Amino acid sequence: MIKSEWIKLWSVRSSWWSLYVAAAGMIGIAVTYSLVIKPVQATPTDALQGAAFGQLAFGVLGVLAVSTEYSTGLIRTTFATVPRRRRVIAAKAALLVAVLLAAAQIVAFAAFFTAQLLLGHRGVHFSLGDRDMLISVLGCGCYMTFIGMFGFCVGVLLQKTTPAIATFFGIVFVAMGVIPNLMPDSIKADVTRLTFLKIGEAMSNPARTLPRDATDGLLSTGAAWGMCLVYLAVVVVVPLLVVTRRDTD
Amino acid sequence: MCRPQGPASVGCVIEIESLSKRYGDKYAVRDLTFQVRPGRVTGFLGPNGAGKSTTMRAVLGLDLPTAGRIRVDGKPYTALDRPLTHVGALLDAGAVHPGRDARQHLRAVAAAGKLPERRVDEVLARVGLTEVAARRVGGFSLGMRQRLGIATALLGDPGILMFDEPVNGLDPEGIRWIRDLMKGMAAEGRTVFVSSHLMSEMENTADHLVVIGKGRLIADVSTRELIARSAGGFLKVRTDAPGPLITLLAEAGARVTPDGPEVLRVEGLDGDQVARLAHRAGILLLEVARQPISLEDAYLQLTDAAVEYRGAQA
Repeated sequence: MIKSEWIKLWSVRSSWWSLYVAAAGMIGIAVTYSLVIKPVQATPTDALQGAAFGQLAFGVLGVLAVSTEYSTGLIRTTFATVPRRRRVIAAKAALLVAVLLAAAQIVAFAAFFTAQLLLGHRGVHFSLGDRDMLISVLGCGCYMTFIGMFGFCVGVLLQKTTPAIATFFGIVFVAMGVIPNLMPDSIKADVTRLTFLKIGEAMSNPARTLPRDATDGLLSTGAAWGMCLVYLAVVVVVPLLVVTRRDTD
Repeated sequence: MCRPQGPASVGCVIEIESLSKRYGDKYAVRDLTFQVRPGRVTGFLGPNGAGKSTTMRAVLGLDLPTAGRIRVDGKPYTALDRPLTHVGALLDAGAVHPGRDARQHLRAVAAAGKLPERRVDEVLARVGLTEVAARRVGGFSLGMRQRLGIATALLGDPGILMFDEPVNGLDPEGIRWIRDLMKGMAAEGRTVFVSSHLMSEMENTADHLVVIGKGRLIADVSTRELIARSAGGFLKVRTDAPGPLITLLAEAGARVTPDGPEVLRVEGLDGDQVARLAHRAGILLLEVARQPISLEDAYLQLTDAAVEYRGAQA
């Protein structure tokens, strides 16, 4: 089953393109940042700023990995081949988590080392061995993996590529920015901390060297990792639950 | 090919028992019961919207029946071990990612179905797509996609083949190819179950017909029987003495209705009998011709009451 999904994933160009775009975005932004920032303001986690961009490509990859199978109707062949649908979805999810995680970590480390090299020439030195640096880079990659799986979840739920991508963007970048503002003041800050982008920020910048603003609205690193894993579990389990309850037309 | 798989069940049979499928408050299929048997091509006929595709999806466990049960080789489809080795289906030739090439598509299905990888090249050769196996499916013609769909259905070398409207949109050569393939598969002892909304497509292909309309069974007969039934038809008899002939034939038990100045429409007697009776009575017959009802007519009569969407009569 995993082998089948592996063949499917790598035999369409969109998968490769999504990864190229993620890599180009992350490394490109790391390069740009390293070249233009004033050395006194530089903080090593800025190397990971490109994650804001990379997560788009990961989310799109997550959506496409499943939505194209539904929208082309191939899913009927797949479910006729393997009537135990949870096995299909589980195999897809497992493969995607593994691929996204590997790709995200490679891209995150590449971005970090690129920035390290370029900023080093400008007299700003930092390394992976610095306090929390490694955990920041790993956190960045893990967060991007989660966002990709969120795209996968939306893809299974909506089954059609365009609505799924629109919904993905809408939730991550719009709804999660708007909803906290609709909350009563007493919980607004807490809700904001739980939005995906803030979780991602909390995971990828514990190593920042500039003083943390007390009101910057982020969870602690450990709590952010915890929330990310909870979210990840949800976006994998939900597709497993819905998939057996629907007709496939 | 279709060996019995246990004392209680027979191989290569689809058994549909009181199948109902409801979408919202509308029944697509209602209380449908029939069996599809090996060694012949069974045509599944009905107007568009009659419930043919719904039934086929239900056989594959893709649509969950509202009521009733379906058995394939004696088991529910979802309980089959390696289902592709039991049933190969072509539901929709477009159901392939356009960006994937033909070989990768088949490799992915083979891997999921736990089928040996060599089957991929075998079925590609079988449907004549070996040359274009590395080309992306998006560039395929409808006929090539149809062949790829059939290659997918053949991957598991199944005893049952199920095709939903396989000749839709194909050119005559493609139609002939699929027809020959289906007949060949049936001759090998496989079960071939093929849907169509056109009688004319089935006339030369199917040995047996299951006709449904508005989700219900209308007929489950052999093609020969349906032809025989339809061939009942009537005699067109032309004579210069219609009056006396009407009396004569009516006395012999025929139903006779005038159909033009010299023409009679005669039911219940065959041509020999009419000619002999007329000869004995000294009545000259100018023409005796059998007017068979075409299969198409027979089918239209069967399904007339069951047409779901009819164009406004001009």
